[in-house]
Amino acid sequence: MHGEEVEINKRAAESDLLVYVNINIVSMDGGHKSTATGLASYRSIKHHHNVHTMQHSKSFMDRHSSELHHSNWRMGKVIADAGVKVFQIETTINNDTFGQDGPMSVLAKREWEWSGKDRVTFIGMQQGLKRLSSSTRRKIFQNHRAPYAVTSVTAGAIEPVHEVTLQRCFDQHLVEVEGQTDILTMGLPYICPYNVNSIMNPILVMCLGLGYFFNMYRGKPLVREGGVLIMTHPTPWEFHPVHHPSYIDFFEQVLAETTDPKVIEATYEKRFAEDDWYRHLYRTSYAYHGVHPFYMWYWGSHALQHLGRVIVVGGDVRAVKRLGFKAASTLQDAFEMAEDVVGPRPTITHLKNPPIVMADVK
Amino acid sequence: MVDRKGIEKAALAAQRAWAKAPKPREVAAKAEFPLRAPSTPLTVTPKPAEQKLLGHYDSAWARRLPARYARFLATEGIMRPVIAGLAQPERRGLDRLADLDGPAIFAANHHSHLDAGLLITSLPEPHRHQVFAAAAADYFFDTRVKATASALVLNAIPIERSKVGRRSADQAAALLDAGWSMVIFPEGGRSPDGWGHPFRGGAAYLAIRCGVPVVPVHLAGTGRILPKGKSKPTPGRTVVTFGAPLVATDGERSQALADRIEQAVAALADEATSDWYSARRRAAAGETPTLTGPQAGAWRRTWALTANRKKPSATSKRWPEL
Repeated sequence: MHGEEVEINKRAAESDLLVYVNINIVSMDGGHKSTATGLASYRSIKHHHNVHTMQHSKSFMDRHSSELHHSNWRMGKVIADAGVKVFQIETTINNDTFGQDGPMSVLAKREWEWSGKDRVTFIGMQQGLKRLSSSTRRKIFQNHRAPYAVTSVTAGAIEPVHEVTLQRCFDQHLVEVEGQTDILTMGLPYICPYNVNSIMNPILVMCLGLGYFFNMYRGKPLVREGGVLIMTHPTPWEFHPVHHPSYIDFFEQVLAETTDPKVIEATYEKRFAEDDWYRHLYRTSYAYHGVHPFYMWYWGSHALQHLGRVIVVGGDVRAVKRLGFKAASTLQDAFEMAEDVVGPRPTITHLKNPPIVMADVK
Repeated sequence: MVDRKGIEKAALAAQRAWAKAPKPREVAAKAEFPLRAPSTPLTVTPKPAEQKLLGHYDSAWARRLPARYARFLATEGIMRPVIAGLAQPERRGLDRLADLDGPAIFAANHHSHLDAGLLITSLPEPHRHQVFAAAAADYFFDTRVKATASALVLNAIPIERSKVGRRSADQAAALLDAGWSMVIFPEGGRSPDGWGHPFRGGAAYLAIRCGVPVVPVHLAGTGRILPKGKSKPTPGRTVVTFGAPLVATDGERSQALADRIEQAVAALADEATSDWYSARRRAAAGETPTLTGPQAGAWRRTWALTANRKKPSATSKRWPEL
């Protein structure tokens, strides 16, 4: 009826029992998406990892309002009907990214609750990091082990397990917010799901800000339609050649031509997805799939459609321009630039991370 | 002439440079977060400030190595000479501590702010530098400056006088278990008139809980140097008398031990104002004068207090040399 092809890993499909163990860091994870996306082929994934689906997932962090999840749930039922038995184990963890002690702990505290010691630690850290190379800075932060603790482990059939998991995630992440704002500000961290021990390239910056963080809402987006998103990130023109080879070509060839997700999807996706060299690197090396940067871009397509302007504070000007955004040197400049879009005396909301927060916008 | 011109030029240049240099007040006014303390957003209800003073003061930093070195220098370099000059202490009964092994609780009567310093500087090694003081939370830990000074100089921990709480007792017990000796004034405050208050059960409770001996100590003379209500000390003589360590007997309750400690300190007071033999005879007969004095009018208590003072010996001078 929906014309969706369902194709998963042969070994998984033929097993007597498939045990799927998942960590649900955010509410997007888990459920039928684990199998229907996690073990599926490009032929199958493309039915929900596309611009139309993402623009109709409002948001993809809220399963019941997410076209992405509706499609995955349909596919999950097909997989179950085909006789694949899945024993789902889902876990949730607390939001303790930087712990209560040590120099990093200041990063998880509310700024207005910083003590004198916190401020000295922060200034020292800031000044120290400024004097280090980007690779050393990455090494320092990526070597940090978050003292996460498990908050729930639920096992059994996919759907009832996932309902419990979702509740645990929402219990922890949901924060009620009254009304939408004109300007949404956010500070992007050094890591996203796709640069563990790797470089956060400009496409991942876009995906983290406009994909993940923008979609951390239930009900309505935090920022009004036509509003402005201001994110802070250095956005270096830097890529990991082993992990993200297709990203380099996507940035150089595709984004140099257009940033419109629909045009990108129609014109370039198939070529990248079926490229033999990217397939070879994906299968035999440590590379993400050739189509992966496209999905990263689609992840932000709902935000691109919704927002009036995106401004990156402190970003590499050339890289930010290539993304189709505006670069600002300071937050004050960014507010001035935003007033051209949203008018004078705008309302401003800041999305603080960590911890992971999901806005329940009324 | 040439030199003077050079100096004038240099002075002028320095004046100009000083005028151009940013003034500390201006720099402070321009400073923004994080150089300046943060402000709470208007839409946020600020959390109640975390209580970090009084009984909540965490003095753990004062037992780390840098603070211990600083306290060693303060005790030996400042406190001992000052106490020696101001109180001219005569220390008696140290031989009774010869067999004391491990941590102990030193429980003394309390007349003056000098008492803690006098007692700590009178302690024999190793207790002198491995000791903490139980200090009134409402007096010594009510401001950050006083709390820091008390923790650094006396290695004090806050003890709640006005309410019952486990926190103080747990902290003191943990330190005793870790090998620290304790200085405590079981009366719970300084004497207002020279006579003592009944001993409270805290020291006895800790001695039983941690299985450590209690050393009764009597301090005489500090009430005349710096009594309660006075801020300027008058130099004088003091006597510090250590008693034999008391160990709780099997099944002994803390109030019974507290009574024994009070009696032991009273006997030491008697010894300080008379002599050891007479004091022992009175103790054996159960006639040791109490620390709390006669239950009578103020003038009568004051009279009794002066009568208690040790009579000058025949060899001591009765009149100043003019």
